[in-house]
Amino acid sequence: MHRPYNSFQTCLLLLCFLFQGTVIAAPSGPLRFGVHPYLSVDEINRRFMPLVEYLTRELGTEVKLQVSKDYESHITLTGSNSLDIAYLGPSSYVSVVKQYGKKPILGRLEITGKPFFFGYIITHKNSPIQSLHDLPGRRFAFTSSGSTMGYRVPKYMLQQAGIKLEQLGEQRFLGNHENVALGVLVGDFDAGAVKEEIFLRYQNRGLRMLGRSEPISEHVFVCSTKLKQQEIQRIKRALYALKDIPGGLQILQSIKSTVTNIVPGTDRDYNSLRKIMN
Amino acid sequence: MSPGFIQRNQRIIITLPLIIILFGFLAVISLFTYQRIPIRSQIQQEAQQEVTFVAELIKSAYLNKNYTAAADILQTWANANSSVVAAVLDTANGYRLVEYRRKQASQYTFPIRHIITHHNNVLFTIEAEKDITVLEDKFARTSSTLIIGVVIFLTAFGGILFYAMRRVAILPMEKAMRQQKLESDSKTRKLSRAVEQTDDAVVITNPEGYIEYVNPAFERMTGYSKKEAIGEKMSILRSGQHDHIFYKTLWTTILSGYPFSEVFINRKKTGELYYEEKTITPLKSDFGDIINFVSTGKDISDRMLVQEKLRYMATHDFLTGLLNRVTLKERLSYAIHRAARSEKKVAVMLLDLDKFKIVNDTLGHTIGDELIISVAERLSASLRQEDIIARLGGDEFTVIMEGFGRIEDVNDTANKILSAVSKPFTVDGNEIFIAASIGMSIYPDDDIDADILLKNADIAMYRAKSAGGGNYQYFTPDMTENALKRLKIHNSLQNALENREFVVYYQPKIDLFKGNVSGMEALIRWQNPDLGLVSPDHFINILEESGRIIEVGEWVMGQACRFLKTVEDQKLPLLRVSINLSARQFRDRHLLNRIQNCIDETGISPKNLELEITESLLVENIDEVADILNAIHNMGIRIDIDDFGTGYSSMNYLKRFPIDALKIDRLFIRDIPEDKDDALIVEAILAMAESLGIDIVAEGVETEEQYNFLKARVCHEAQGFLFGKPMPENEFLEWYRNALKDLQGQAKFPKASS
Repeated sequence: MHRPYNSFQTCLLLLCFLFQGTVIAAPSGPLRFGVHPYLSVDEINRRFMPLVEYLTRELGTEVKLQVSKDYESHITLTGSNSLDIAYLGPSSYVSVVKQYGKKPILGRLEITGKPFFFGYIITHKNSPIQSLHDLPGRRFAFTSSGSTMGYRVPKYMLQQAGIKLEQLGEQRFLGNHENVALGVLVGDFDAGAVKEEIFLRYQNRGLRMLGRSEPISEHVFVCSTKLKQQEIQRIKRALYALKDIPGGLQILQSIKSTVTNIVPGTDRDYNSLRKIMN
Repeated sequence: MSPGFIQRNQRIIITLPLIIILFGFLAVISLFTYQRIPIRSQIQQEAQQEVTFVAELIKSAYLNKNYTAAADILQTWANANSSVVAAVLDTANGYRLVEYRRKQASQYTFPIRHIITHHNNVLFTIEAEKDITVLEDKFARTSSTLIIGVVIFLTAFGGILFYAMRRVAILPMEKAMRQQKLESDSKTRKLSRAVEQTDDAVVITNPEGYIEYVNPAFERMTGYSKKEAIGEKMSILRSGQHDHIFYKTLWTTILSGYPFSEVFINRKKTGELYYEEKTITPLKSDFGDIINFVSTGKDISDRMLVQEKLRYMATHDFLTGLLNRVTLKERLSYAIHRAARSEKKVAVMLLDLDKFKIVNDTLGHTIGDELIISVAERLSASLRQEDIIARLGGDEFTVIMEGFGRIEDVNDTANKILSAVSKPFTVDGNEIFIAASIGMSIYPDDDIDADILLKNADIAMYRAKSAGGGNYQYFTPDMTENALKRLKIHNSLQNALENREFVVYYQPKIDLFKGNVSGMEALIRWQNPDLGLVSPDHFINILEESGRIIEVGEWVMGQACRFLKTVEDQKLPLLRVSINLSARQFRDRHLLNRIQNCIDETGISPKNLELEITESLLVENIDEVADILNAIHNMGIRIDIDDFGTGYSSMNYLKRFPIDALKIDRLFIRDIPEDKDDALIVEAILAMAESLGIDIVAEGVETEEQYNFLKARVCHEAQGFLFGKPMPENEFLEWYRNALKDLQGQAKFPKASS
């Protein structure tokens, strides 16, 4: 019932922005859009190109996509304002803020309707283990020591439950979340830590949740503190409008198939993670 | 070759290739079926090896706790191998790590299962399904290709085989059958033409014997035309010469389905009889019924006449027309059979002419033959109609008498024959006197076998001969012994001369007037190691028959002359030596030469030589005999007639020959002076001799009465046991010396030494 109104409103807004952009904006060189290398450069280009082209069109300024060399340099580039717009994982955001101070948050990804997720500690559904307190002496599978969801978050959760890692019968890093899930399923490990996405995928195939972390905010778009407030507002409006404009959802899903929207966020949204990482 | 045969062969020729095709087909299919089992198992084995390899990779990833990699490996393998339709990886705790299933439907799959263990613990299990549809399809395609190929090959092969066999076996047969049919058509025409034109009379009758067909040869042979003959029975030709048994045999034979062959005596239309050599053959239908009789025959009358003649010649003696030896034996056997039934007797007479040989030798064979014919005529005339008479050859005849009442009837007949033969025969102007000897045997008294009866009659005949001929003798059992002895003598004589078995004995002759020894007769003796001393009566005639008498006689003459020389050499008073000359020797062309040689060799005087001949010699060929005798006489040799009185004893002919002396046979001397008849005969002979100027020598003087009688009646000389028996040379010389002494001692006559 309200869909025709939404379409009308969107059109009105778009016309308004177009008029404003051509009149008000003063171009000051291309905007640098950086992404951390969580995939191959080609893959990242493919996933983010629709968004980059969209922004170029909306802002009337050329947006250039660049993939950082590694996670560390990505954090440095973002912190030193070498990037105009940066896409960051939650733990990278916490690291940037900690090292370089707050950066203006443009928006957060909303995955299947919510802009946050949980870390899970899992066991086999037939396992006698009923709570985190049963874990001492058991074989435990992590992803890797650098992984937020695969290590820091479960380690925090275990600490919260009063269990030290040394108490575990065996702890082993299996490289990725899926492997952890399978290791528990095939019975090689009594328990393991996985991110929500994997847990949900394998839940029906025999996994049971032992514990869930506090909600952790999703991936985030920040920008350089050097950008003008006016410019930041235009970017924000463009991002937030994606969900409602024709073809917008395709642009979002190009990044990840489960992305449903880009929503506003604040630094407080990452406090739970900041707590874990400290 | 029948059509059935060909059809049978055709069936075989068609069936055989079909069977070969079927067998080939089955063989290929079974080969193929058996072949796919190892292929399939090989594929399974390879797949298993492949899974084992994959499992090793998975195991390695698994042990590194890289479960995703493990799953990926299986997933990747399954994806990469289009033949894998399903793959499952189950862990030891039952978690299904991979479950892969291809969407495509698969008809033929086989499962592969592989369990991975580590340190005896089961890690996980791989179960996969491999699609072999492609393989099965390939099998199916290959087999159908193969089967089609085989079918094409075998069909072609079968076709070629069929064609070849038909070409080799059936076509020649069919050709032969067509040929046969053509031939049989022309054969029928040929056959009917042959029957029409053959020279044999052909008649076809229906089973009842009515004539249905006759050929031209029949018309020519019988004189009946076709028109006349057809519809008639074969009996129109009957002559009445065969009895009803003949016709009964004929019908029984042909109605039993067998051919009948015989020589028929039939009658022509003209009434003339003829011989037909005929075969009547029954013709049968396919069911074996007699549908016709076929008679084929030819006129063999000419041949039959010749045969009759031959048979006559075979059974009869060509010269006399009497039965011959062969037929005689047959007839004798019949006679014996008849006699056996009627318990009667049969007489067998064997007649042999005495001295026939002389006739033959002196007058020639033509006259001999004429004489034989005349004898045969006289024999026939002297016999009854029913008596059987045969000529056995030469001068031998046989008479068989049956149905006589008494044995005297046989004697009468024998006498009748003897008298008939003894009458003089006039042949070609010659008057010939002969006699016959008859030997007789009686069935069943002497034997019951025809051959033995003939042999016995022969033996009896020889007895009659040795009894001087001109008589008959019945066979008696002792004769057999004599006959055997005679045979033995005959055999032993062969080499007697060479073996020096002959010896010459000398019997003295006494001059009754002077009372001294006037001469000696050389007498041959035969000393055989087995037979002992054999009398000349027993072997001289045998030597005569064999002709060896000539050399033996010459030998005797030589011996005698040599002995005469011995006497002369011993300065004893000289003696005459007389030597017997047989008929055979006398007829020897070289006789004069032999005598002359003998005289020349020994150097004796012919005057001291004396030859004795029998009177029978004088009756033959008188002129020739006279010439020889004159020649001998002219040589200075004396000639005596031996055995005078036993033969013709005709004084007339003596005048014609240069005879010096007659020797009166001992038969006449034996009974004198008691027997008045003999005494008269001797007196008559002595009187006659005196009138003719011929000396008389008496033989066999054994008593002084005889001596006195003879001396009183002016007999010139005598010899006999009274004076001396025949002696070997030395004994004779001794006797001679003694005799000379005795005579000097005034003995009346020289006597035999005691």
